[in-house]
Amino acid sequence: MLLEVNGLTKAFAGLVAVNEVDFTVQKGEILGLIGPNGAGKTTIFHLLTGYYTPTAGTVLFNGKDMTRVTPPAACRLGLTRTFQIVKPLVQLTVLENVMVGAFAKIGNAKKAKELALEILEFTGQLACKDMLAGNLTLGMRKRLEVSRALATQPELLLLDETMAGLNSKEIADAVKLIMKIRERGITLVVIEHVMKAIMSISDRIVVINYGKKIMEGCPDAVCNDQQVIQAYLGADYAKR
Amino acid sequence: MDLSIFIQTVTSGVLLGGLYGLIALGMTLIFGVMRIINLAHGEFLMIGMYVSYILFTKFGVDPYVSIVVSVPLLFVIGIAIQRFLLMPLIKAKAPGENQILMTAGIGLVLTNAALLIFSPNYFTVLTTYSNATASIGKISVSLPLLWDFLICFGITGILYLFIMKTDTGCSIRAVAQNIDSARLMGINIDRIMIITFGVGAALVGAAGTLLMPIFYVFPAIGELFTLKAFIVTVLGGMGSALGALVGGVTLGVVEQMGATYISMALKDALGFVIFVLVLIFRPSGLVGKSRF
Amino acid sequence: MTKWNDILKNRHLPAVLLALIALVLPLVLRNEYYLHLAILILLWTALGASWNLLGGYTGQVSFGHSVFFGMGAYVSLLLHTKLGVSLWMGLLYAGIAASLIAIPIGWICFRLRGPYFSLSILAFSEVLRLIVLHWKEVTEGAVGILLINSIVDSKVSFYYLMLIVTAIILLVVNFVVKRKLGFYFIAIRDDEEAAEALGIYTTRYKIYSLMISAFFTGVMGSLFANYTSYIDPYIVFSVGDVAIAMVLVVVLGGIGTFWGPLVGAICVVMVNEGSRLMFANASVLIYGALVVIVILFLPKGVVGSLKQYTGKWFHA
Repeated sequence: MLLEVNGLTKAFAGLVAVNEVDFTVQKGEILGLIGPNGAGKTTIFHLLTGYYTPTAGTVLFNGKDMTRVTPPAACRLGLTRTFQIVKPLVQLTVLENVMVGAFAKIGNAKKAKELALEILEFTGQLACKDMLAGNLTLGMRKRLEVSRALATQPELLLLDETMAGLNSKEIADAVKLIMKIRERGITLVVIEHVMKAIMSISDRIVVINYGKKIMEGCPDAVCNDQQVIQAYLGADYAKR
Repeated sequence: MDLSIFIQTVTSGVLLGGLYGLIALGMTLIFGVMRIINLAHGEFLMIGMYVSYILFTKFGVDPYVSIVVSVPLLFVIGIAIQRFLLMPLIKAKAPGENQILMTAGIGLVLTNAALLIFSPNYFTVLTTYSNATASIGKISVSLPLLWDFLICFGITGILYLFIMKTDTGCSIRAVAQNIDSARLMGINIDRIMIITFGVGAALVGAAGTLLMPIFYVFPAIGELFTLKAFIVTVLGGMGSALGALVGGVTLGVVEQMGATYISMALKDALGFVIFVLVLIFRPSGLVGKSRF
Repeated sequence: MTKWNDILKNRHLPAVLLALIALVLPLVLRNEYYLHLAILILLWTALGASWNLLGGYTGQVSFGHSVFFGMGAYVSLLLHTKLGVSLWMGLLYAGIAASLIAIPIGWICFRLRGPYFSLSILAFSEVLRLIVLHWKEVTEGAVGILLINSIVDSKVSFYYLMLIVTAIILLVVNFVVKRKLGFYFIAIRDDEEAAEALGIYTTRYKIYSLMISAFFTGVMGSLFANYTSYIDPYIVFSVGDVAIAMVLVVVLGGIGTFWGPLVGAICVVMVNEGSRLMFANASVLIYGALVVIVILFLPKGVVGSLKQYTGKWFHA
């Protein structure tokens, strides 16, 4: 078991954003994390990578307790995330952005550059390597988030809505990229609102609503679950 | 330890602290809305002090009456500075340090203008009541300082009402909380920033006038009070009005205790010690994050 | 001819030319006053470059670098006058001492961000000034310290010493920003949260940046003390004349650019001296007004504004 989450809870001054969530991630799988806006998905990513400290519950990554870990330490242990609101290092070029990620495991600038170039070729961004990250389109910025996270050589990669706001061509490319990342031997947890995409890539899906896990299963089972339909479309729709 | 000396020390510390609070109130208001620290703050105080001085010596106006001149004057100066010197930087999307540096440059100009006009000499105003005291038992309190304290509370109360009850005040709070949302709500950000800077300058101008009967003025006085205002602002929690008062009283009491029990020379250092301790143990300030 | 073209296109050309000019300058400038100005420009270039590593590349704008400047000046002169340590070693000790106090200062001040940080470090400068002022047994307090024999005896030798140290600082800054350390500094400046997600211990790296910056500022403090042969707490811990002036040099020149500190130093020294010669009493007033005007019309500094037109010529 690569990641084990037990009773994970986060309360902000009375508001319980994440409420006793359990799930596990197996090595090599793609786990989809879905739920309506504000359900607490991104908060879970914040908790797993040390941006927030859990109110209760445990997170075990490779058998190691992660509840008190800091974000950089999580990355160095092999658990890297991307951000839903992209955070490019705007005054660096695309290549330099990816090099910053590569430095997590490599100290030498020349070797970091080699790895960064290899990653950029892998993600199909080699052509724009000398562009300033601040000048990229949204689609390219989203992809840069992924490239940069890959350069840290993670074991488990958490992708937070890397497809939101993309056109259908870009979404198709993103789906292909995620499958290729899995082939690289990297395990993935993916938050996504683009249902068609998430259903096609995920091995299993965990559904979150109001901070609680309401369902877990294979994509088909999730699609037909009454509770899930109710959460997304309201009680009226579910009755029909 | 003599109890009456202790009470005396704490009392004068609290009273002085009220004035520190008023000085810092303008800084914290400007910080809350514009996210910059005004390094010309002490120089605004200096202008307020010179205004009282001139009105008293040339026209015999009571220092407390001169507040009706210093407050509008500083308000106008503040508005002009924000409109013509700081706003262009915000429009050009210059980084925050440029704005801070701009206020430092303004401070430099004001200090040296005062130096040319008034010479480097120290001036005081001697009124009939400058040395008046009120005594309760063994404790004696400087009367002007007591009045200052009460007026400070009055001004803080008026500011509170302005911020909480008027439409403009409501807009100021909105901008302080979230500038982008405020803009989307149709608030004229430029206008709010101009008013805020004007009000911030007017507040410290009032403080300068109140300080005049109990202190002396000289051109370089600004730097000392800019630093004190900054310490008070951090002690209280930046951008918090209540925090400014709490921070002011804390600094006042600490300084007086230091002067009484350690040494007059090191009382300023004690303020910094408290400042550092707060940074280490309570970085969000004594009162915390409560905005206006 | 192609060979000449290659040389002209070489991006190190400006640096090499500047170095050559700097080397022959004392042979041309026979006038002591002009040499004095050149030394001041070097002093402010070096101070600006030290500040720029932290403020420009790491994005941590400090309004209190006088704490390291004063620390360096006092450590080297006190070691020399009280314990007989050589002034040459003093340069090194000054840097080390400044670098060491940077650790606790950084640990405390980096709890704050943005303008909170900028001014909290200034408070430490004031604390140190008060300590030096009142700990008379060791520091001589407000009387200050007079240095009888400086590190070198002539103005020309001093110019070359200053030139070497300044060149070293510029080379080190250039070396650092092209390596992992520099990438991490810039990442922290551009987005702290993203930097953390990429495995960067942001506070630790900010402290590294502060330590390097403080080291060079301390060395320059010591050199300054040698140059003026006299220091007191009001001079070397001055907020206006040291701490804010360092920010000014870099902001005027162009923050986060390699040549910014040099350009800023030339502007500041020229404007300062010019207004002193022309306006006597009102000189600081005019100087302040010029600062206001330049900030108003050149928000990105001289190099930053030039960069928009010339592109690659100045590298970041």
